[in-house]
Amino acid sequence: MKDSLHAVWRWVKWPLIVLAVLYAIDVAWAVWYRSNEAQTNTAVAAIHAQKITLADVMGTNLPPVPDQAENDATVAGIDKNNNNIRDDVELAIFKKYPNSAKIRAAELQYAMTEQMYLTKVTNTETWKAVAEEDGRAHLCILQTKADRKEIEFLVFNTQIRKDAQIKAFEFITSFGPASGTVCDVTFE
Amino acid sequence: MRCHFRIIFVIGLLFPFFAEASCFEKGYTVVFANGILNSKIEALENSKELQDKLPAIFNNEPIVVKLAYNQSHLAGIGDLVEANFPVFDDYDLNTILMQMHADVTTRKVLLVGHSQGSVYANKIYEYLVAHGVPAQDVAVYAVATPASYVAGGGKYITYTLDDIISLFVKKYTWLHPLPANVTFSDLLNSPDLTTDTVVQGHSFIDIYLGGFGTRTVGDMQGAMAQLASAEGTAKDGCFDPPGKTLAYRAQRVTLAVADPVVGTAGAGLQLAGKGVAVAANATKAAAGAVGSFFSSLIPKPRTQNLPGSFGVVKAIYGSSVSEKDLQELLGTNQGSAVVLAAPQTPPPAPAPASKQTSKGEVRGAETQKPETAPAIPVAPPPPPPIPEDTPLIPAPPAITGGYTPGFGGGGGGDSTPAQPPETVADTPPPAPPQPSEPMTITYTFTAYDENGVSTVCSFDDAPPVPCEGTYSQLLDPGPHTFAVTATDLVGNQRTETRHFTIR
Repeated sequence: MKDSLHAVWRWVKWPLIVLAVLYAIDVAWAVWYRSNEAQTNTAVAAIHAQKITLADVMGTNLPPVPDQAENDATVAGIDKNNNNIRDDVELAIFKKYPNSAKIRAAELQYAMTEQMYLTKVTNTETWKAVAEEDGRAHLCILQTKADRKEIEFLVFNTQIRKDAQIKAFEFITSFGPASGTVCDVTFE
Repeated sequence: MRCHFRIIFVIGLLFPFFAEASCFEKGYTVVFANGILNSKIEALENSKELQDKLPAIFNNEPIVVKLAYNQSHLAGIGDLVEANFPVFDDYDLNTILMQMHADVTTRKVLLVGHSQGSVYANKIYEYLVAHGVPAQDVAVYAVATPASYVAGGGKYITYTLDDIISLFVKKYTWLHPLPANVTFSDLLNSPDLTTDTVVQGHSFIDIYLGGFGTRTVGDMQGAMAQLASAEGTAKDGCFDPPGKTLAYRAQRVTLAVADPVVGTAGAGLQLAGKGVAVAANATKAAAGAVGSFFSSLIPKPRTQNLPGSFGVVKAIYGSSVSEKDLQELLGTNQGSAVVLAAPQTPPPAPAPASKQTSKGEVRGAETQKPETAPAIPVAPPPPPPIPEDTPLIPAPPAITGGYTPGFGGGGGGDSTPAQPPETVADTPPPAPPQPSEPMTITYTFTAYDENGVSTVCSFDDAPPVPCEGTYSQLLDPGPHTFAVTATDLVGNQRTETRHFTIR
């Protein structure tokens, strides 16, 4: 009896071990996936939550002029006033449109979303979230007849930023503009 | 029991939930499907540019453009396979449909496809109509389509000087694209014509939203005006998306592994473009041809007002490759690189789209006379570039100069018969010159060779002198001849001549 059980065990042992290993891998993958998904969901929510404010548009907290070399040394650049708009881009918009808060609002919003391609994209989900906000900001630009290309030129202004943009676009997928009001800050 | 929970938990992770989507009666969704071999940034830029060109509000309802991203696979090889064997495009089609499902939130949908994206637009249309969308709610507009039909009887636009369609697709694929229905003369009469207009190529932005922008956008608006807003039968959202079948998952896993491997292997998108070029070069070499595949006089793709000359500037159009296409072929610009440098056949008078051609079929495609003004409301065409009574150099009625295919010697390696190149009158001069007086004549040209090329120019019997890109001379009234000869590093030569008369 003992011998026959032993013989059966000998035949069943390896399939069971294989199944156990597969199950362990599956569970580990599921845990990793779940954790990753949670991180991604948080990142996506943060991207959608990022808005410009009336204070940004009115320039109540404008940053100092950044050192260009220091600013261009990194992909993210300098954002001293922490409003998610790169300082050099923010100041350039204020310089060009000192008398039009409406255009500043649209261009600052667009600048913020373009910058997110450089700083927030880590996978397809985050790319899509940025693209959705980019689409919304683009519609805002169209409403105000501002110039999106001048913003793109300002944001993607160095080779490392252009490279970072290309890298982010590795995650491109289908998308449509985020729903809701197209401009974060609106003017009559 | 605990184990069961875990299994259920794991199974739950494997099957994503779909959020319930809405389908609104108001509003238009324009779904843009990009072509193959576009860079990823270009794909987004194309959809943005389309949004820029379309009105924000149409019939008091908003228009929103959404990107249906048509992914490249296996560093472009997969796209070429898909282009030739559409049976392989199911994976991308299903991916696009799944991704579109949440984004399409209006009943009225216009599917706009550029290049291979038009093939997907047809297939998306067919899928939607079969899965809950009333046929009157959805339409297709095809731009530079390699397909032989436009689903649902939609319109299309293809330019005679679109080399990807008119040369590459026709010659190197098994597809039978619809005939081109807009010509260079349409471009000259286009209200969008400017000094920066690109006159040759396949680019969605430069050609179809550029020189033909009014027509393209008008066609799209015409299609949208016909859309109804009938309620569909989809259970969730505007249409029922395809399911993630085992076959789909297997394809996804395979491509997830293969795409990076092939990409890293250095095939790159250049493979598609350069591969064709290399193959063509090999063919030429075997035929004893000399010179470079790209060693032809290539037009500048833009019309120009050259400083210092009020005469008519005649650009020499001796090839089918635009500057941008050339950059792509040479790898300096990733994009639709699959173009050929065969001498450009002058734009043929294409058969009306409603006629059955020897190649392909037209299903529901609208009849369009290629030379007639677009059906859409457009601004009146600008006056002809050269008034009849203006005593300027008349546009050469025929290019009688020695246009030869390929660079010199060897009889040419291109199997394409030599054809007179397209001759393009540039923008009209600001003021007519006085008759019977000498005038400065300027010719502009471009000669390309990847290894460098030198050019010499001459008017009439004067000895040739080195020139680069442009050549001017003060000439007396009477008949004249301009000649430019390009020489590559190994001595192959090619000469272009133009005859004209100053009256």
